[in-house]
Amino acid sequence: MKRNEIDALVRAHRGRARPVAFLHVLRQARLDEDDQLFLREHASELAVPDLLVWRSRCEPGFTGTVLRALARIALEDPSQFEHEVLDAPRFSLDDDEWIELADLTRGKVPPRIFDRISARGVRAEVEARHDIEKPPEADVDLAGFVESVLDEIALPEPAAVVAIDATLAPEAILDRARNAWSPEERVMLLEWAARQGLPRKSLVDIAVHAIRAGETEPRLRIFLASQIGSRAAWESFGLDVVLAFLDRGAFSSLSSLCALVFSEARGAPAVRGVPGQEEPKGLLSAMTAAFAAALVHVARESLVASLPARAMAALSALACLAPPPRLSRSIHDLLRAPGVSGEILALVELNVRLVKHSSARDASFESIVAAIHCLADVEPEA
Amino acid sequence: MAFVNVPSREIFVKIVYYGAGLCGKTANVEHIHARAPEAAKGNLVSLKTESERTLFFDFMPLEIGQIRGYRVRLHLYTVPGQVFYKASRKLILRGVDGVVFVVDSQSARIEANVEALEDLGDNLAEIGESLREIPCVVQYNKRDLPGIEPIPSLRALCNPMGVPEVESAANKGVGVTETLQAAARGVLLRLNRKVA
Repeated sequence: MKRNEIDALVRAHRGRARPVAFLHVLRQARLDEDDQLFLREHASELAVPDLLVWRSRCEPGFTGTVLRALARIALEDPSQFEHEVLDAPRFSLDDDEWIELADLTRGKVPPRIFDRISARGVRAEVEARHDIEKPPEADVDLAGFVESVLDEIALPEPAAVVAIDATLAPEAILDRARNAWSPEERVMLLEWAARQGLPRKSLVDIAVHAIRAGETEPRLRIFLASQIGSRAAWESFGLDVVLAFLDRGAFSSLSSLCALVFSEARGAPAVRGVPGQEEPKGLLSAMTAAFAAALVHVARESLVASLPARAMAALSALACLAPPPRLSRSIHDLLRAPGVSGEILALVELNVRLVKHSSARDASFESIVAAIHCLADVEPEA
Repeated sequence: MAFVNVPSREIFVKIVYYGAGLCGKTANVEHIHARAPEAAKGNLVSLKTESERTLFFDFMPLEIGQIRGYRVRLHLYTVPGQVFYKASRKLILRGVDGVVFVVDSQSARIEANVEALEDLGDNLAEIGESLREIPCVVQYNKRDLPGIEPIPSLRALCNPMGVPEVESAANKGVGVTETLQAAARGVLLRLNRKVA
């Protein structure tokens, strides 16, 4: 990234460097000189996992700053260093790095820690106690357990809470769902209507309207996830769904919805059985496109409404996504939106550059989650 | 006139595994995923760094099925350890019904455990919950390792709430099911109190 882009991201994250390092700079496959300079300037703010990712992005022989930051942690908190560095799964250094780390810590850390550094003592398999009995290799009987607890607490038998006149026309059922007297009734009506094969568009519209009205109960999310579990559904409804959550600032609910959709898709027949459990690329590509389109929309609206902080938050989240090429034009159009100058211009230009080099194949669930967490970091949920 | 009764009542439980970095939160969820009946478990979504640190969260849905007329679903989440972001942990905690606080029993990790517990209390407070109110289980993990603290000393620091406790070695599956059951039980009891 260019320095002015990084500085604009820091501004978007209210002056904090670490979210920018974690959510943007270190998520890149390659770091250029401006990235390295930024990380060097803020090395003391980075945590161990950030430092280990940074090291993995450095050319061999150019890890001196990372090693000095690790040595600082060893000096300040030896037990943290031992736990998070030496005992971290898969941690290792090259020979010259071990020598440099030993030079930086010699005589300044407890002998036990120094001995491990000198001996390149990474995570060792410790001798576990054998008097702890392993559980049997049987399935966990969760249903039996829940049943016994329900017996114990004697929850009331569920009543028939919604009576539906089966002779009603589909539109009347949908009307009833639209005007339900409670969120619970609405979800039950929607589930029933879905089972009767009523058009998905109408059902999703009602759910989206409810979310816009502030209904965030888990069952509505679960219903929505069941309706938008495919690439085609995300292409049709994704933008409206994401915008509804973003407009409410309901980032946690949006994250849950995406996790549910992704979890279910990974088990779908189209992807199951493929060696290495391939990710559902078509679905991820459609989800990414919907998210990116929603964020462009939020950025444009915020600029028009003179809400620069909100626009910067949306542009920062957009940069997490590797925006898909199909959004190239609408991202370019942001350059002509009102109030685009200075740091906002830098963020728009960053996204213009990212979209130029992106491919639909870059879509990943991790980047969608990063975008949601980016928004939550910038504008905490009410 | 023909009527269809829709008797669906649903129990939805969100349980979050919380604790210091590398204390064994993910190991808990991975073990449940490995041992849950095929029909009940959804796919485990796990986002990790190259060095196996949880990036944002792990997530696993469990569909327990119809029990006593209720459709029961559990959603299990882990938060990233202390090293990542408060905003991320708060995002995952929102809507939580029950918490498993995983304690790393190693003597060297006492301070990290205490910090994680304080952080949990702060984050719960920010979403209108409290450690005294929310169903919680304290899991003393890594009991199979050398250099661990005795339970009474861990209890004094990590369970001032006096909530149910389980000893575990999550990477071997010891105590994992018991922990989940204790957490689910706490949530169902609270639900019953609310219904009553």
